[in-house]
Amino acid sequence: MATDVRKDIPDSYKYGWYDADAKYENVKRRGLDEAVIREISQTYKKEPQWMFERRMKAFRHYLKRPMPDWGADLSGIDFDEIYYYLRPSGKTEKSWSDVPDYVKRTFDKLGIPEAEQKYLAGVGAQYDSESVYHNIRKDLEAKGVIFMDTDSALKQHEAIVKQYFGTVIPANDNKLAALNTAVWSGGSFVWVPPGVKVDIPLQAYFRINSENAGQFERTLIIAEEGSQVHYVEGCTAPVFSTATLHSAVVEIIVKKGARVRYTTIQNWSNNVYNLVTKRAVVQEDGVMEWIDCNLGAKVTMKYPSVYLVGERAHGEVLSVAFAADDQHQDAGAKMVHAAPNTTSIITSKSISKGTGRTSYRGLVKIYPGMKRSKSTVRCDALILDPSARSDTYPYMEIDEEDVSIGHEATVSKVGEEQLFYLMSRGLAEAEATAMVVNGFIEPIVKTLPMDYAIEMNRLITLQMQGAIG
Amino acid sequence: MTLATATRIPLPLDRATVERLSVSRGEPGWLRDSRLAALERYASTEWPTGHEEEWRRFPLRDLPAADLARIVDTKHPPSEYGSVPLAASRHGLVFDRMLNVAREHPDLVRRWLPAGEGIASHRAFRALADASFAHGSGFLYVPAGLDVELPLEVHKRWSAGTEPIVFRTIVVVEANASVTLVEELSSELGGPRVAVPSLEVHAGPGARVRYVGIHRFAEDVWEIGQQNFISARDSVVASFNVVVGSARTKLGVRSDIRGDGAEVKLYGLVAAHDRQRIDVNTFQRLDGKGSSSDSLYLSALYDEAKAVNYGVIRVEPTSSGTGSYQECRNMLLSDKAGADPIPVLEILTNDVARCGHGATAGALEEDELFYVMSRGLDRVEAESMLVRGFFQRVLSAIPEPQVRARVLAALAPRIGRVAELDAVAA
Repeated sequence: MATDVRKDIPDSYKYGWYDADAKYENVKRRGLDEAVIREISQTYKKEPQWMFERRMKAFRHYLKRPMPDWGADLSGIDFDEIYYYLRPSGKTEKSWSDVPDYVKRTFDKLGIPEAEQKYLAGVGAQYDSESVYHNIRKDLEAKGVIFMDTDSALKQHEAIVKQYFGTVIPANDNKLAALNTAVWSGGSFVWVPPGVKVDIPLQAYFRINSENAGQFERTLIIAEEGSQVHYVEGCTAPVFSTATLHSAVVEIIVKKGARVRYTTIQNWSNNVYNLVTKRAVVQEDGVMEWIDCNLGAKVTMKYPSVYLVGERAHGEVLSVAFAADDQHQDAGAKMVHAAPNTTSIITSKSISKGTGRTSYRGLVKIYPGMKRSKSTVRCDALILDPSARSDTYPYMEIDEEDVSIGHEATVSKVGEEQLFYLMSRGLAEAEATAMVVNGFIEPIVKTLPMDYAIEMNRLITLQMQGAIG
Repeated sequence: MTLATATRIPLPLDRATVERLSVSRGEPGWLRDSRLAALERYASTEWPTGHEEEWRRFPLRDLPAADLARIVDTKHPPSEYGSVPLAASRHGLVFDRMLNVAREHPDLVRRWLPAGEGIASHRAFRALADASFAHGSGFLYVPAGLDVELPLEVHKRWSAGTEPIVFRTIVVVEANASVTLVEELSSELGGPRVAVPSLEVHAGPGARVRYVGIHRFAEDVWEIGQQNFISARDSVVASFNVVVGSARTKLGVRSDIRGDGAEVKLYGLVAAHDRQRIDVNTFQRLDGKGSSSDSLYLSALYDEAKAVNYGVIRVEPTSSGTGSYQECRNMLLSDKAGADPIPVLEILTNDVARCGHGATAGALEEDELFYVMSRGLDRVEAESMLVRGFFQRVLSAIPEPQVRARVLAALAPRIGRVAELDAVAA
C-alpha cells in the first residue's frame, strides 16, 4: 500500500503535494490563441488536418459562447493565466518501468501499479496534458478491445475516432465543451467489439501537477452491439494557491443491447474548477450508468447526461456530492427520453458541511410521442452545519401523456438521536457523524468496485476530519 | 433610462393616465401620490427578459397589446359582494370596494396600501398594479379577535371589451382574527385582453386566513397575476388558487413567514384544455422557529394544455426547526398535453425539521379506468371521476361545503360534473 507515503503529508488532502522535478517538453506559455492550438495540434501532436480544423472551429465557438452564469460562481477562473498544454517528456508507455521516475513516484503515491497488480483489466494514467501510461490485459486485447489514450487512438484508429468524435457533444454545445475541443489532450479511448463483455473495470487516473495547468482530456467510449464495459476514473491535483481548471469532455456511444458503466471518483484539490461535459447516447435495449462521486474541487459543475434514442434504452445516474468549507458542488444529471419505452433513474446524495454548498441540478425531458417512458428522480441532502447550504433544482419537461415521471427530494440533518446512540457506543462525535454520512451514501458506494468503495469511505472520513479539526 | 425602458415596455403607462384615473375616481391626494410613486417604480423596473427562471417558459412577446389609458373608461365590473354579516360589521369588519374604503377609512388604506415584496422577477407587474389599479379593487379588514364565521364571497365579472383589467385586493387580518375570502374572477369573451390582478394578504399574530381565488377569465385573456402572503407569528394561512380560464395565466405567489410558529399552505388546482398555458411560480420563504410552509399543486391537463410550476422553497439561515414540503402532481389527459414541474429547494441551514419536495407527471392509470368503467360508467365519466378523485386532496382542505361547491362548479367545464362525489366529499 502507498499509505506510508501519505502519512508524511500533514494536509488533510493527501494528494496535496506536487512534484517539483517534473520536466515539461514544451515551452510553458500561458493563455490561449490560435498559435497555441496550432502548436498543440501540429507541432506536438502532428495530428491530421481535419482534427486541426475541428480545433480551430471549436476555438471560434469558444470565443463566441457566454460563460454559464446560471450555476456556480466561476469568476475566480482567469483564462489568461492557464497553461493550456503541458507535455511531460516522453511518449505514452506500455510498461510501467519505462515511465519517467518523477511521474512514477507520483502515481506510486496514488497507488496505480497497486491497482494494476490486482489484475484490473487495464489502467491508463494522465499527467497534466498528456497520457503517460496505458495498459490493457492481454486477453482483452486479443478479443479486440481497444483501450488507449485518445491521442494514440487518433493515430492508430483514426477512422473510428473520426466517425464518433464530437458526435455526442458537438463543439458548440457549450463554452467549456468548445474549449475542450479546441485544446483537448489525452483522455481515454475505449472501443469494445460486438458481443465482448469486459468483466473487470478499465481504469484511468488523471492528475494535474503544475500550478495553473488546465487539463482538458477527451474521452470517447464506444460499446458495440451487445458488448459490456465498466470504466473507472480517479482524479487528483496538488494544492496550489491559484485556481486551476479541469474541463473534460466525455462522449459515450452505447449501441444496441450494450451496457456501459462509467464511474468517477473526483478528488481534485480545493483550487480546481471542475467543469466537465459528460454525455452518453444509448441505442435500443442499451444501458448506460453514470456513477459520479464529487468530493474535491473548489467548484464542480457536472451533469452526466443520457440521451435515450432507442426503444427500451435505460439510463441511470448515481451521484454523490460532498462539499466542505468553500466548496460548491453543482452536480446533477440529465435524462433525455427521445424514444418510446425508455426508462431512467437518477439518485443523488449530497452532503454539505461547514460553509460548503451542494446543488443538485437536473433535467428530465420527455419528447412528445415517447410513450410509456418512465423516470424516477430521488435527491437526498444531508446538511451538517448551520452555515452549510443545499439546493435542489430539478427541471422536468414532460410533453407526452403516456408516461410516469416522479421526483422526490428530502433534506435533513444528522439526527441528535442517531449521534447520541453512536456516541453512547463509545464513538467520538466526528466518528459518529462520519459513520452516519457513510451510511447515507452507502446505497451508491456499494455499486463501486471494492477498492474504490474503501477509498470512497476513507475520502469521506478525511473530508469530515478536514473540517472538524 | 426611463425613456429607454418605456419604449421596451409592452404595456406603456404615462403620468397623464395615472392622474386622469385618480381624478376620475375622485381619489384623495395621498392615494394619487401613492400611484405616482408606483409609476416611478414601474418606469424604472425592467420587464422580465425571459432569462429569469420564472419567465423562461412564459414568453411575453406574444402579450396582446393593451392601451392602459383606456383603463379610465372601463365600466365598473358588476361585482357581487356576498352579504357582509351584520354582526361582524358592527365589530369593525370592513369589506368593500377599495375606493369606498379609502374614503371611509383612509387611515386603514393608507397604512396597508404599500405593496409587499412579492417575487422579485414579477416586480414590474406589481408596480403596474400599484400605479393603475382600477375597478375591481377591494379591501378587507378584520379587526383583532374577530372570527368571521361565514365565508366572504365576491364575484368580479368584466363585460366584453379590450380594456386592460388591473386591480388590487388587500386583505388585513389582525391578531387572533379569522376569515375566509372567496374571490371569483371572470370575463365575457370579446377580444384579446390583459388582466393584472394583485393580491396582498397580511395575517397578524395568531390570525387564521383562508383565501380562495377562482380564476376563470375568458379564453382571450392573458392573466398576469401576483399574490403576496405575509405571516406573523403563530398565524395560519391557507391559499387556494383554482385556475380554469384565460388563454395564458401567469401567477406569482409569494409567501413570507416572518415569525415563529406560523403555518402556510399554498394549494392549487389547475384544469386546462385546448391550448391554455398555466404557469405558476411559488416562492415560500421560511424564517423563525418551528414554522411550516407547504404547497400542493394539482393539474389536470387536456388537449394541448400545458402547466408549468416553478416553485422555490427558501429556508433562511436564521430559521430553526422549520418544516416544508412542496408537491406538484400533473395528470396528462391527452398525448399532446405537457407539464414542466420544477420544485426548487434552497436550504441555508442544517436546522430543519423536515424539508422536501415531490413532483410527478403521468397519464391516468388504465387499471383504475378499467375498474371504474367496470362499474358501468363510460370512459368520459370514468375519466371525470378519476380527475375529481385526483383533486380531492386539495378540495378536502376546503372546509366550507358552499365554497367547495363553488370551486367544483368552476371546474365543471373542464372536468365535468360529478355530482355524486360532492356528497362524499361533504
